[in-house]
Amino acid sequence: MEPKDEEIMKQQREIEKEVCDSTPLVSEKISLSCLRTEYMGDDVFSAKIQDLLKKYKFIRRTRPDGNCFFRAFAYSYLEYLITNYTAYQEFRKLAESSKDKLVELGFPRFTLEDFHETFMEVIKRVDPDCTGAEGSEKLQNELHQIFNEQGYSDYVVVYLRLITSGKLQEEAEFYQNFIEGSFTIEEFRHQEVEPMYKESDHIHIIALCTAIGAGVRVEYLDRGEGSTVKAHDFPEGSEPKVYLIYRPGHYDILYPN
Amino acid sequence: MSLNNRTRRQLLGVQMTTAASTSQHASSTMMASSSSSGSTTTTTTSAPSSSAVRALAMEYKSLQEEPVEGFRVKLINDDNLFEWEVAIFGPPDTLYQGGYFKAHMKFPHDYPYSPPSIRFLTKVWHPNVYENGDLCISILHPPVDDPQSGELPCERWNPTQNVRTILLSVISLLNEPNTYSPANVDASVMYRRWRDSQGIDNEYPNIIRKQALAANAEAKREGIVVPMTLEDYCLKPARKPTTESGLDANFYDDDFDLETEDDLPTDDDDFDEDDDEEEDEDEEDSTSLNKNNGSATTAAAASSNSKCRNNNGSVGGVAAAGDASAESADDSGKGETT
Repeated sequence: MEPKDEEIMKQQREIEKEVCDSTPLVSEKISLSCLRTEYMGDDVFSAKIQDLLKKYKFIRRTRPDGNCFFRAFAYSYLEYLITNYTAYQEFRKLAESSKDKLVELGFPRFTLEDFHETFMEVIKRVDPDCTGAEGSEKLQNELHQIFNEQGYSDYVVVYLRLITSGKLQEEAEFYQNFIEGSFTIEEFRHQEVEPMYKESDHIHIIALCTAIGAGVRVEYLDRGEGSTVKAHDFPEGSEPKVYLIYRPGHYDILYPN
Repeated sequence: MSLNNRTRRQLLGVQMTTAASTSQHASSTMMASSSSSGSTTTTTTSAPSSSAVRALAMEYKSLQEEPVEGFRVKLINDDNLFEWEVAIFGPPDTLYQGGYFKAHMKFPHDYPYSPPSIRFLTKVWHPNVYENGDLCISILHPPVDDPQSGELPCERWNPTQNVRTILLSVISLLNEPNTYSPANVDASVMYRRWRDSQGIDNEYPNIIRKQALAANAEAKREGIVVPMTLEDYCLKPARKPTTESGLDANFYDDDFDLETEDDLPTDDDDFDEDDDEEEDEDEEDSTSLNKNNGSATTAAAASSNSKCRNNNGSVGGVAAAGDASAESADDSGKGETT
């Protein structure tokens, strides 16, 4: 008998359920200084948090369910788009046309359409043009509500995973260089990108940011040398619109001063 | 399309709010909401499994309107979208011809993020079916890092897979077992012996045909007409499910034209004696019918067509079928199967 994947998955699901009951999909904005208490007594992290506090004021936590990068990215980027109508319109156009590309790449149309439709619905619901003077705060609330509704939130994650997978396929030759081990791009997409709950690596971030044309800065809070937090911009040299903090295994959203 | 989607969404919006606890028939719920499409209920998702209910309702409806050839699906219990009964008709001109295989399909609460499972209720001797009937097919496996499994990672589950893509994989697996990770080792060994002997060692096909026969007899007892020719197999039900028929109707009894009775074997008949004369017509018909069904279906049907072509006209249909599936099994071992 082969090892039962289902049993491993079942145990994983149970852990996830615990996480799920204790953390919202996306939290409110919290003062970044909360990390100080979290890592009290840890000299390396404390020094780095001090450094981080010079540049950022708030953090917004995402549920650690393996989808955190995608969820954090989507939330943070839409938050930016709410305040920038031109960029919003451009993104909406790109999102609209992404479906046909993915169908061409061989995803089943029937289900893809459903994911795409929900994705577009989310984008439309935060259209900056549709709100009056009190605009952005209202949209902000709407966005927050949508992202904490599992149905919508997860469909957005799925669709971003598909866009990421599509990009990897489109530029397979380039991305093959990033893949460790004997995976082909094809295998990697199906195994590490498309399925839910699969954690993201640099390659996911690069592919998604490139596909969407959005700059992301990731601050790495880890045990690396020095007392400063190292940042990395994706794609390299781009102007960041989304700021994320990475702690081993997890991404949250950051808000610069 | 957008209109369709909107209607679909409305149906589902209502469906979702009721599916959890309702005692109403799912079908009438769906239908009722369709007739009152003027209502403004659109999307109200919040329950944890709302995605699952939504996806399942949508897929179920689509499969009623446009079935996958060779399959019939229904809910085991009208109130529960998470457990389906699937009936599979053995594809004509294969070992499974005439067979009628029942299976239960169970969906997890986080469908479509995790795959459903399938268990055969009818006895099926196949390298990828466990003793208890559980079907072991990679498309139904969640992606876990498991280099030992011997499966190609590219065939694993992802949320865009759906019942339609699963059923197409199942039908292709019937004739092209995956012997790299057999669930039934004895069946796998036997299958390989048959394949490697170019059909001379025919223990494997004999067992399959016996099971198909037994299943056919069982189908008859239940009053079910099993399609025996490609033409009938690919035939879509002419009527569209209307208000009452959706889930309540006994969909097994009248989907196929009664003319097929002529082609039915009696219990002691040989399977391989008919449909030679009309092979060209059959192929044409089935191909054109399949076009309505999206590329995946067409591809699957095309491959089953090509197999049929190999078999047609040969008296010893079994041996020929053996060659055909042996070839394709070899192919599948080298790379992707689809």
